Amino acid sequence: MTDASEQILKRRAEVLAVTDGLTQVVVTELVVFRVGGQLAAFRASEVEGAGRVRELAPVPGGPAWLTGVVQSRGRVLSLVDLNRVWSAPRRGVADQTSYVVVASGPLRLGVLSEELLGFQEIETTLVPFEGTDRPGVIEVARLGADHVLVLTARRVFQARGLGDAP
Amino acid sequence: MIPPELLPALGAFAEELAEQAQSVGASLVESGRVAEPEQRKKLLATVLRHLHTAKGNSGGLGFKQLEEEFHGLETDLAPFRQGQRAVPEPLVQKVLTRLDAGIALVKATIARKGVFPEEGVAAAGEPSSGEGLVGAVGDGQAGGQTIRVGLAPLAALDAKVEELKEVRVTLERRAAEARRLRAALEATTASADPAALSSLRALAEGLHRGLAADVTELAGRLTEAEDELRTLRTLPVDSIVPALDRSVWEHATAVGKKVRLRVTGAGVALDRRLLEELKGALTHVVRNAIDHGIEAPAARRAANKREEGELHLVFEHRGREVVVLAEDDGRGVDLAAVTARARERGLLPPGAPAPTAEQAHELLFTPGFSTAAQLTTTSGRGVGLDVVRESASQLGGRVTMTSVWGLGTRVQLELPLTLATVQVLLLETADHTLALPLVAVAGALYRPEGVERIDWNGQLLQVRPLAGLVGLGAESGTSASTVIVLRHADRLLCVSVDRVFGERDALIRPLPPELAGLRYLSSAASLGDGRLAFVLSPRALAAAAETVPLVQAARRRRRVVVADDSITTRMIHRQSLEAAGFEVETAFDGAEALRLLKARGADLLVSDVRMPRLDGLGLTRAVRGDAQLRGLPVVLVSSLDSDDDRRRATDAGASAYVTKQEYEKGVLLATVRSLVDA
Repeated sequence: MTDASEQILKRRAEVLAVTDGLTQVVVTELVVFRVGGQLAAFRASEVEGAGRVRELAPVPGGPAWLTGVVQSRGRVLSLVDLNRVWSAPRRGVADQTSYVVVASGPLRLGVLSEELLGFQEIETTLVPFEGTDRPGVIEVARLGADHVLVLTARRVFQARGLGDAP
Repeated sequence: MIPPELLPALGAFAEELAEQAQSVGASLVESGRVAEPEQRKKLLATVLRHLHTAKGNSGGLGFKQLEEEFHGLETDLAPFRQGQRAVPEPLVQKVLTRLDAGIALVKATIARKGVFPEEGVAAAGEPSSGEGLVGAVGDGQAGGQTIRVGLAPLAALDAKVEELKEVRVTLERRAAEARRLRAALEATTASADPAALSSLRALAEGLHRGLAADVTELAGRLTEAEDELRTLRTLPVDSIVPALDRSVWEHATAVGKKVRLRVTGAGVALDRRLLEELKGALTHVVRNAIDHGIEAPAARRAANKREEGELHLVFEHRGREVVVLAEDDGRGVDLAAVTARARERGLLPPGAPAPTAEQAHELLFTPGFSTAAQLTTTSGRGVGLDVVRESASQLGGRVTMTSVWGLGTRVQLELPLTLATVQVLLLETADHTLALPLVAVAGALYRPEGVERIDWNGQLLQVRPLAGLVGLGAESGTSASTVIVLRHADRLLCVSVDRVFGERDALIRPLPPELAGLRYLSSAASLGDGRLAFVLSPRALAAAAETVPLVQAARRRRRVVVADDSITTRMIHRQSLEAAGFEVETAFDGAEALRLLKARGADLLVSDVRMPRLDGLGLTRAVRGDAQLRGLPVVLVSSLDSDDDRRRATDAGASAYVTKQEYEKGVLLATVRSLVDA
């Protein structure tokens, strides 16, 4: 993660920490997971399920972002490593033991995670993310003392050249 | 426009209309064949009943134009109701065309969410041959009643079964863990509190038993669900017979011939998708038989045949395959004409010997061959046969043809029983486990280090590393490895791999859209233990690698008889000749070799000189003195190297003399090849 991005996240966390008593608090349902040591989340409405990485099959000639495929609910599911999408230091497949299945239109992807924290209801206002080095991230939320990068499946797909998703 | 509240009924109407069209078509065609007025009357009653129902349904849903069309057809057919006269062919054609157009109109209206197409009935779309939406839904049997099952819920059920399988695997793991836990507790009994351990042991025992029972229960339910699913996935061949019958009638009528379709094995149940694809391929086979096989009535009379030709379709299960035979009693294939055409088109090299019957029939599947045959109206077959082969190939099957001049032709399709599972060859290359459709694998053999080309049935094939082809490693290399000979369409290619695991039945999974651009991958094979292996596309591999034509490569393996009294020498000769693509039979002396040659023939004889009973020189003289064998090339191999020895061999009639020293330098193989090719 770059220094600029760290600064943005800190600033957002400070903004989120301040409650003026006037801002309307919204309950947002997120599926939270850890990737690259950072908390990240998709809105629950985009999440189809989750699973443990078993029998990962590498894809001959596949794109760099594609870690491999697994069987999920009788279908072939492509797994994407956000660390690669974000050009962050790569984690080994062994560290990424689970995945979150997100869908947008006809496309589905499994997003690898180091730890699946599960479904969370966050009572806070999401703040738009202003960084440019985290394709797929649109907002930042606060979860206890941590901040959470909120992604949308559509942006993740677009970042990987799967831009025909609606 | 259809009222919104009636929209849900449109799908059912389309399906029913398609069924009615199919029944009307079959009854009308049959009515033209029967001689008895009473039979004809019954068939016409069926036709009119369906038309009347279709008219009523059309009016009820607001298809006023369709209602009028069907009313008009009823009026047209009314004079034939009593069965005294056959319905004229133009009227039969009119009824079938209008029904097809009606189906197209309803489908177009469904697509437009209830808005009628402006063009009306006649131009609503291409005639659909009566299959309409029936192809997208089908009939399953439930308690003797017919139910409709959409393909989407069927796929969902399929996915559910797969999920259940995953649960079973997980449960099996849990049961194994419980078993290990119990064993670990047993092992530590001596060093811990006996009461606590006893309690723990009882818990572990209960857990293990419970899990084992759950696994058994789940496995039983899963098997039942799979059986049900298999039943739902299949349809009897019966369901495509009316459409084929109609196709036969229409095409025969159009070309002025009389043809009856006979079907054996119509009760054989096949995978729905396979059946649908098969129908398309068989339509080509049927038309081909009518166009080029079955003669016109006058020609049949002249040949002492019945005026009406017969096309017999036979469906049968053979192991994991379904075999479909299409036999006609027409004139067969004029192989001389096929050969002449092949020479004209450059499909046979100048000066090449005439192809065998098998090779000549194979030529008819060559793309482009058929067009020439059709334009010049010779007796050769071929129209659409390349399409049939392509269809069979896409279904993971194969097609062959045989014929007897003057008596008829047989086309044989061999297809996998289900498209859901296929047989694959599982292999490893560059640390990737991959699969090849077994139907595309012609063979596998060992490639010694340093060998760039291998001899496959007399054809030299360039070996390419599979890893290099699919972008996983170096594009060339000649290290010792297993090589696989692949067949795609009419080409052969050869790839080397690191390891072959063997054959496997695999459930095929389509690739998600984001992987569609990876041209070497056609699908993924679920191996039943949670693993996936990508299935490679033989078509894409053939496009990227150096290939050779199958016709040339598929020539008969040349047969060599080896005579030597030393078992070691016989083995060495056999190994070297078989590796070069020859079929080898060995004899322990000259007398045995002569017996083999007379009994089964050969393309060449390799013989030692010194042998008991009958030596090499005696054997050579016997060969030259035999009317059937005298042209056989004979190579004598000996450690004797004097001029006298060579002269004696030549005098006896040997074609070549190779010393054992020369043999070690590879001279024997080169000599054998040159003599066989000559």
